[in-house]
Amino acid sequence: MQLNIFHMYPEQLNLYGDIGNIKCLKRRCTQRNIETEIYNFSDENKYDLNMGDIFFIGGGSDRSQQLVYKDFLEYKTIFKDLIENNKVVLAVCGGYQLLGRKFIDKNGNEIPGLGILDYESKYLTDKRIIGNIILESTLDLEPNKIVGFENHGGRTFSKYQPLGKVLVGKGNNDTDMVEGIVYHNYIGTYLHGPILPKNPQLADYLILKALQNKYGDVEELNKLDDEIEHQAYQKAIRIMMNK
Amino acid sequence: MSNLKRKMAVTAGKLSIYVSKAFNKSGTALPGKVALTIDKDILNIINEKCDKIILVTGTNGKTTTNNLLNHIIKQTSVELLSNLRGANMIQGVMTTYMCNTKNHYDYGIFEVDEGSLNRITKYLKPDYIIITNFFRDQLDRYGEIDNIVKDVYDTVANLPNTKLILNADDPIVNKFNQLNNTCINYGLNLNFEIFTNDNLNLKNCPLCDGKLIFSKRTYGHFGDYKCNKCDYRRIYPSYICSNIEEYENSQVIVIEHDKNTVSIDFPYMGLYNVYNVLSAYTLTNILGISDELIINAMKTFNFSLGRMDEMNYKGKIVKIILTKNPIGLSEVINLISKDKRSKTIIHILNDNPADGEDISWIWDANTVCKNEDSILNYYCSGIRAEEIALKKKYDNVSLDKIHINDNFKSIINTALEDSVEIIYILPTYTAVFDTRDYVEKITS
Repeated sequence: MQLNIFHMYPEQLNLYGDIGNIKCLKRRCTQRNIETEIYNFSDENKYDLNMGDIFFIGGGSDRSQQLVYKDFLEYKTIFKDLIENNKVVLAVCGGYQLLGRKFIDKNGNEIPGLGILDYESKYLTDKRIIGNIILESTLDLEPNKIVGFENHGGRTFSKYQPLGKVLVGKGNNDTDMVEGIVYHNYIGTYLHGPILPKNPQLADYLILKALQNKYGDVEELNKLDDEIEHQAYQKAIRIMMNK
Repeated sequence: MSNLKRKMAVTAGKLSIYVSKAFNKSGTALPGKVALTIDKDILNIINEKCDKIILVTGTNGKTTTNNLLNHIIKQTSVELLSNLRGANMIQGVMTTYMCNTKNHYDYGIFEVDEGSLNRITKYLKPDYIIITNFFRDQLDRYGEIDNIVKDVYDTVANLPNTKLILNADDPIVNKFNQLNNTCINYGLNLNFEIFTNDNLNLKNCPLCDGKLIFSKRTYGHFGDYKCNKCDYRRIYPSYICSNIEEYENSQVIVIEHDKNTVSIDFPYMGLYNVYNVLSAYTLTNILGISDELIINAMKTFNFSLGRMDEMNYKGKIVKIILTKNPIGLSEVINLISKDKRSKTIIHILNDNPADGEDISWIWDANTVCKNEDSILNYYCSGIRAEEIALKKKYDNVSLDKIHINDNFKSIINTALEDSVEIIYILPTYTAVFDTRDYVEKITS
């Protein structure tokens, strides 16, 4: 089996160690003899998006996101179809905001998003949401908590299924106590950490969905030695729960 | 009234030194904090008592540069006030005065946290500011690097009489040449094609949306560059490092300025130290200090505050190097990769507020050692020991080499018994002093 992993605009959208997510997907596939090819998609390097099985969109500075937006907009319809066709997409932080309908900035200006899904983010206060976060996932994961670090100025408001209920931290905004969104196989989230290496159950969820979407009858993935991953995950929970 | 307030602030601040000593706390900022609570404008006192003020700001190299400047300038028998231990926010700067109260100083030399420059320069009016570099660091505290740079830029724009000493190799620092201040640039001009092929985090021009084209790179986003869209380019520096000869424990750094060439024998390795030496040379040369004195001072420089620290244990070398952000860690690993001796590495990763609570930065660092065969073990410690262990796993290090233990003392005890020639200890900020104290205790 083989998966094509698209890293969208890696030069501009690469904050907070999110490159670890690509490394994680690749590593966990390789260990199971699933071949992977990484495509770094950017304004200079174009590939046919229909070839992709997993897409990763990270976060960037406000300026980087503006630069990416202009180029990404050309692929809006294709990307929307990909999501409707159950392609696996993980978008973190700025990437998550970018796929929504709009972002309302500090001065009340509306900055259009790609509008691929109907949620919006807005500036509400100078106070950024920064800190460790734990979710109880709405996905069928074992274990079902997801740990990470959130660092975002904007607040997101969505009616979609969230990625999880917030146990520690803030999540989408200051009031809803939920984090992220799930729509088909698209996951949008504010979680850095990076999110996948120490939540290998989520990484495997994405890999399995991508394989099922591409090959049909794949039931499960074989287990890997996740001793250190497990220790990092447990430690994160222990620290955050005790703070 | 304000005089009385000031006196009270100084007295209370000094009193707190004794109190914290009594409780055996080496809190490097408490006395300043106490004084500032009583008189929020107390920092004026430093401005009044120092003839000249020099500030060092930027992401990396502040503490080393500050210590270097001190070491050189104090040879000219002048009175200095300086925050040598790296407490670089307003309380820390104030504390240095509390601990060393005099009526007059020839120089006040302070490293200043990028986020504190604005507040500190409301009181301290610097004659010179050295801007070392801007890298991603502690984004959890400040949000984005763009915000930090803007804050520093706007602050400096309001100090038109301050002379700027700029690292022209950093495209972000180079932008400060656009200000009306007098600017003096330093940079590397070696006959290298490209030193590094590490991922470049900075691709876009600081002025427009164009792309930066690098003809040379030294490390990180340092190099020679120009924008493909506007006329933004590296200013040709007037202080140039034109050659480096590396030895096992030292390097000879050749600096050219105004048809004059000096060779500096510097007892610490690392390209980042070349930049520190270059910036310190630039400023002390401007101050009129003779080359002979600078060369002698550089040669005897002994930095014992955790940035680079060496001790001995049963014939083994124990080296402590602070690693606190991606570029710093990458460069230290780069240095270790050049060391052929058999070795063990101890990582101590904390996530206290002063370290940055977000430990995802380790994933932005290149931690793969190129001489894996010479490394016996990796010991992972600190509050987030498991996270650095996981990163090592992703570096494809054999799992039986990776050992996890939160307790840094017991992990150091174990590591010291390894049959290796050198033990590298790489702590984050809040672990560095405790590590040093502990290693000093068991090696003495």
